[in-house]
Amino acid sequence: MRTGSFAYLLREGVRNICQNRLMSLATVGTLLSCLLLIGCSVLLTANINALVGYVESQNELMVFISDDLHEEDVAELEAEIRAVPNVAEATFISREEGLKRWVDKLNQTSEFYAFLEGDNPMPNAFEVRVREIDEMDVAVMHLEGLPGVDKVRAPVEVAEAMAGIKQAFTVISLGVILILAAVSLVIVANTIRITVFARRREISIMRYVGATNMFIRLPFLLEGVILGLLAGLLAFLLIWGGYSALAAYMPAADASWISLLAGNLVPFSTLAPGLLGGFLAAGAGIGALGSMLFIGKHIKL
Amino acid sequence: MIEFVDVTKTYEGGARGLENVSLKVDKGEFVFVVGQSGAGKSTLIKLIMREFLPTSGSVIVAGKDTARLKNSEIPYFRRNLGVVFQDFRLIPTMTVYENVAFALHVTGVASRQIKKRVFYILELVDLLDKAKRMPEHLSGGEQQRVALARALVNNPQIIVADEPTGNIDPEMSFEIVDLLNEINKLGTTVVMVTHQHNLVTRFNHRTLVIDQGILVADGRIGGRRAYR
Ligand SMILES: Nc1ncnc2c1ncn2[C@@H]1O[C@H](COP(=O)(O)OP(=O)(O)OP(=O)(O)O)[C@@H](O)[C@H]1O
Ligand SMILES: [Mg+2]
Repeated sequence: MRTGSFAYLLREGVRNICQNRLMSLATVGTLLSCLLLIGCSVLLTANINALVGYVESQNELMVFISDDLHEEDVAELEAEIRAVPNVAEATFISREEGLKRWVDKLNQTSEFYAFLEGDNPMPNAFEVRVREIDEMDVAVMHLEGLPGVDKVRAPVEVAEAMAGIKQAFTVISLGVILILAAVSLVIVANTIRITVFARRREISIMRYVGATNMFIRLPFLLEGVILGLLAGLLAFLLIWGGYSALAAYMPAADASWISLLAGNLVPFSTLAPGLLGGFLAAGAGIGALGSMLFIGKHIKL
Repeated sequence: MIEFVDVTKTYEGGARGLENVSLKVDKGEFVFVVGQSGAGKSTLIKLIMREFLPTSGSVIVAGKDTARLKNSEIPYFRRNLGVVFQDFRLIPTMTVYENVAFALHVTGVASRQIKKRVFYILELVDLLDKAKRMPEHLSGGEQQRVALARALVNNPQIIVADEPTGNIDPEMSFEIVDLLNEINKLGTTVVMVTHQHNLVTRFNHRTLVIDQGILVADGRIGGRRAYR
């Protein structure tokens, strides 16, 4: 198509929007609300995932080993542990270090340590991290089966809870996105239907002077895309403002769980490119799809 | 240029539009179509425009059998035709110039050529001085001239006009037909539906008479006062 024609079609699309100002405003507003809700649920999910990821990274398995093992057996076992699927890391913790950690954890004095050192109750152990927390139980089973392993202490409940939280948020946010996307589609489609109705005289003239189908439809498609892009851009700016305000406010709050969260709030700059791209793509996509949804019924040859 | 071969058009619900009509209009002819209300005149026009297809028989326009046109070919087919209606069908929010330019814009003509062509055509229909007016500030005759300009601006081979003078007072009607005559002299085929006997009798053109869907007469009846 000639660029002059495209400019004309674009102008027509803009004209549709301007002549139908109130309706366009309402459409952008509704789209904006939908995108904001979608954005919030995406941000919430991103943060929940980050939080879960953080908790996950704090989650270690302790693999206690039999005292009968010699040094070379221990080295062999370490290799075997590392070979277990889903194991990311394994660090040897000697009996002495284990005792030291335990005493530290209990906030006891060095006398207490000295007192126990003579008859150390701690076994040698490996500290193991897994990659996927939801499959921790499988790793535990494998580890327990290794020769020389006495016992495995795993926070399986925490792991399951975390995996559950992650999954629930993902499913809920996906559901929210789908429902809102459908709502947005219908909103756009309805707006376009109204413009098509307002333009029916022009459309009939276009048909009999020999305008192609594409030429008749493109202004409406562009109208939808422009409205969608506008809503996408506004949604990004609002989310940006809101998120920055939230991030600025949160460290000031006293409640320790809030500062824990704030400490882990995913910085906006890491989310921004994806969010902007996502909003624009979603806006344009919904606009384009929505405008074509019913148009076939209203514009026929 | 236009050929109907045993064309019948029955509307959904059984209303008869046309029945077994065969006719031929050559390139450069000027043809009137007359008949009572409901006779099937508009049906004939719509068949030419390929607004719908005949129930049976075939309609051949500008060398194309309308039944064989693919959907994607219809717009290009219609560029052979300039269409004018009784109710003008101008876009009220556009000036005279824009109304005419519209037909070029939507068929993808380059902007540079649009201006030149629109002014040329507006001069032809003698509306150059009113190019910036809105349609509501024009007389009926002037509005119909704008519609005619819009029909002509794509340089069609055929002009089809369905009662173009139906909403205009009699003197103005003659002006419109005079204009169509001029266009016809430039080589454009014209098919014009009319109710006005005085037009038919004054201009000595071939006339098709349709009655209840049937083509009952075809010939020159101009000058004959007795026509009814
Ligand atoms: N879309 C339609 N659906 C059903 N019947 C129709 C339709 N259009 C026209 N008809 C019928 O077909 C017949 C011919 O109609 P047509 O419009 O061709 O008449 P006409 O000669 O143009 O009349 P007029 O002079 O009043 O414009 C009429 O009986 C009319 O009622
Ligand atoms: Mg009619």
